Amino acid sequence: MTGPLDDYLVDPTLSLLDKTRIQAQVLVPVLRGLRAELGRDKVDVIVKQALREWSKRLFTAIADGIEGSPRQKWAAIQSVFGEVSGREVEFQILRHDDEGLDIDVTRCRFAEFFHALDEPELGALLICAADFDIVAAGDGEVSLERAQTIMQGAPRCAFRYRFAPR
Amino acid sequence: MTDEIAISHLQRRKIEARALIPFIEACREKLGDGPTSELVSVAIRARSSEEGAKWAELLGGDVAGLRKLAETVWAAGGGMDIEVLEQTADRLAFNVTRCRYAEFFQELGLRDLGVLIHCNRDRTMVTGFSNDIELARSQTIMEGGTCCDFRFRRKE
Repeated sequence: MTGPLDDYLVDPTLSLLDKTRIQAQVLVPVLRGLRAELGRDKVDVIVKQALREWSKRLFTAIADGIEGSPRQKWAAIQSVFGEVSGREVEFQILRHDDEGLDIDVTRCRFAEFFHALDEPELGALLICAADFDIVAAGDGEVSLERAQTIMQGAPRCAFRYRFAPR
Repeated sequence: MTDEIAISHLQRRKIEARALIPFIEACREKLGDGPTSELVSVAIRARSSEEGAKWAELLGGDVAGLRKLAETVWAAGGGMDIEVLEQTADRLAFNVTRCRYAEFFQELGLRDLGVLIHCNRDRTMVTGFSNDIELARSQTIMEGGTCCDFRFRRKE
């Protein structure tokens, strides 16, 4: 393995969807057990905080290990993450130029999996949030607005990346 | 949820741990070690009992099936080195002399978590695997032992 996300992906032969399914298969029973004892709100606050911090730390460490400008770091991570996550979605590129990249995802197998589990918030934490942590590697040179996602119940995910002038 | 993902048991546990560890550590911080361990143990054991039933269906719910489980699932992908000491229709005794699961948690400095979310599964896995078989184990490498002494036997 030689890519920037090798450690994140753990096993290069495994799809990102399967990796996420494995994590959900163990997290969901633990979450549900804790929710039954402590209440859903309390447990969901803890899991949200834990998984957000984990994801931020993870992508910060990945970005720190890549040479180049923030924009190059973002591009290096995004190219691999976009490839492995892109296998699980159907999408349309609406715009791609020096200033921006607009992508609408029209079908998402991650969202289908987590909706079937009735755990879309967990799916948003394990998958959707990563896009913003990857953008953070761009350190202001790349921004992302995403007004809606399929995981949240919308018909499309509206990715709107903007790039600072070089 | 299905489990039909072609991957070694060791890789599966590593992938699970990536997401479980930050969650359990956050729970420990908010709820304390004791309550977290108890709540996580209950949930992990419930799942391992289900896994035991699945393995029994696939491999046969007897002593021979347990040996297949140890040698072809747990030890797959270099997960562990096993020395079988005895196998009869009623008993299976083996020592795990090297455990990459323990090495994984050791590298993270989290062997206590490894005991909680990995070793802890085995006893309840056996209850799901067979009503007639029990596991006695006095030590594990994860806990600092020189080997894991698995002793399965048919209940009296």
